Amino acid sequence: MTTTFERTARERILTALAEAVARDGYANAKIQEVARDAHVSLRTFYAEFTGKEQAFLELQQRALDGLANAVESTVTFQSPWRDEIRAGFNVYFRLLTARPRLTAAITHELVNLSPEAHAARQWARERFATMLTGLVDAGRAHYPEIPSRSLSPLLAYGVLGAILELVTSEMVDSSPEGIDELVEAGTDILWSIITNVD
Amino acid sequence: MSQTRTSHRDRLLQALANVIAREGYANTRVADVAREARVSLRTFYEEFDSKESGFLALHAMLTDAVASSLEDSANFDQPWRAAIREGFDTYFRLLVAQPKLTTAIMIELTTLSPEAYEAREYARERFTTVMSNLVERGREANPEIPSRPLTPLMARCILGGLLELVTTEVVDEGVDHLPEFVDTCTDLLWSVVTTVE
Repeated sequence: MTTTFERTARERILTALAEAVARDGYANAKIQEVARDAHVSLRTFYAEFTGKEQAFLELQQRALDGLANAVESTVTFQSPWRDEIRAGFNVYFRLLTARPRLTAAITHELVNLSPEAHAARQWARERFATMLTGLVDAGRAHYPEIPSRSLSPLLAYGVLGAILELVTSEMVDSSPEGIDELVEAGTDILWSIITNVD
Repeated sequence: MSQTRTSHRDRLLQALANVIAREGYANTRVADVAREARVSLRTFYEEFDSKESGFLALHAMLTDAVASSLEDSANFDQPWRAAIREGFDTYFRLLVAQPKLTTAIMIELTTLSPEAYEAREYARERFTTVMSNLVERGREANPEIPSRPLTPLMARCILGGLLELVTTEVVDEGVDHLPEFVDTCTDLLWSVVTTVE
């Protein structure tokens, strides 16, 4: 019983924090307001988390894990390979652009240099690199007739950086057409790399 | 008058580069920079509002210098892919030659003010333009190789890939092994420009 209650408080805090960051940005999010919105006392907040950063890092990890899971469950290899890749990027960019301030906090605060933030950044990098190389290898097994190559770890990190740059560069707006452009660019770069074989 | 001012500014930027290269950005003191440039503190503050604004001016100057050097030294009398590889190799060697300046640019610059964000944007635009221009020259020199222009968005993507590799490496390990990314960066750029429908 206690466990259920505690988990619920933790979940409510994370939800309230996500709302606060999406609304006010990370720097302006106040723990008092987060606790109030989560219907918990400050004491409960500090029983669950050491502070704003720790709560945010957990939020970040859950959000990014959810994003990766959403992409993985979308790519089922029922359609032509390139269309499957496009579908994966479609989910990725639409989820990322749905809450721009939260995404900005996640992508920018990841650069923050505290050891915990650094560890979170490494975790996210590994999660997405593993997803990317796994999806590419699964695609290669499904479409053996298409000449292709696996992603080396370095290429996977490079592709991840390239894709993240699309989100953070603000070269494309977050209108539906802008998001389509992101999806096409992401698909283009990944497809070019895995099918450009000598 | 204006010539003296220009030379003060140039000397201060050179001195700032020297002090950062020696001490790192965090340990760089404006007083040391002024002394190294043989100007007064007051002269420093006539030219720059702060250490950060001096650093941003230095960053813009280095960005232009590196970008011009990449454009000037590009040699398309060799196979196209080798020319691209040589360009990345030149870039990474410049980074390795100045470990503390590289660290200041790749790490400290990402944690500074909104003006620093503008400075990073400037560098990104400058380097994406270099990449797109060099791709055009490569395409002209090698019409027999099927290829496509590098759009600003794709250039930005490739630069983002490069910076992701570089930043992570500089944070985790420092600058020594950066040249190991030459092949990956060449591969990223080459794959994109030579993949045509």
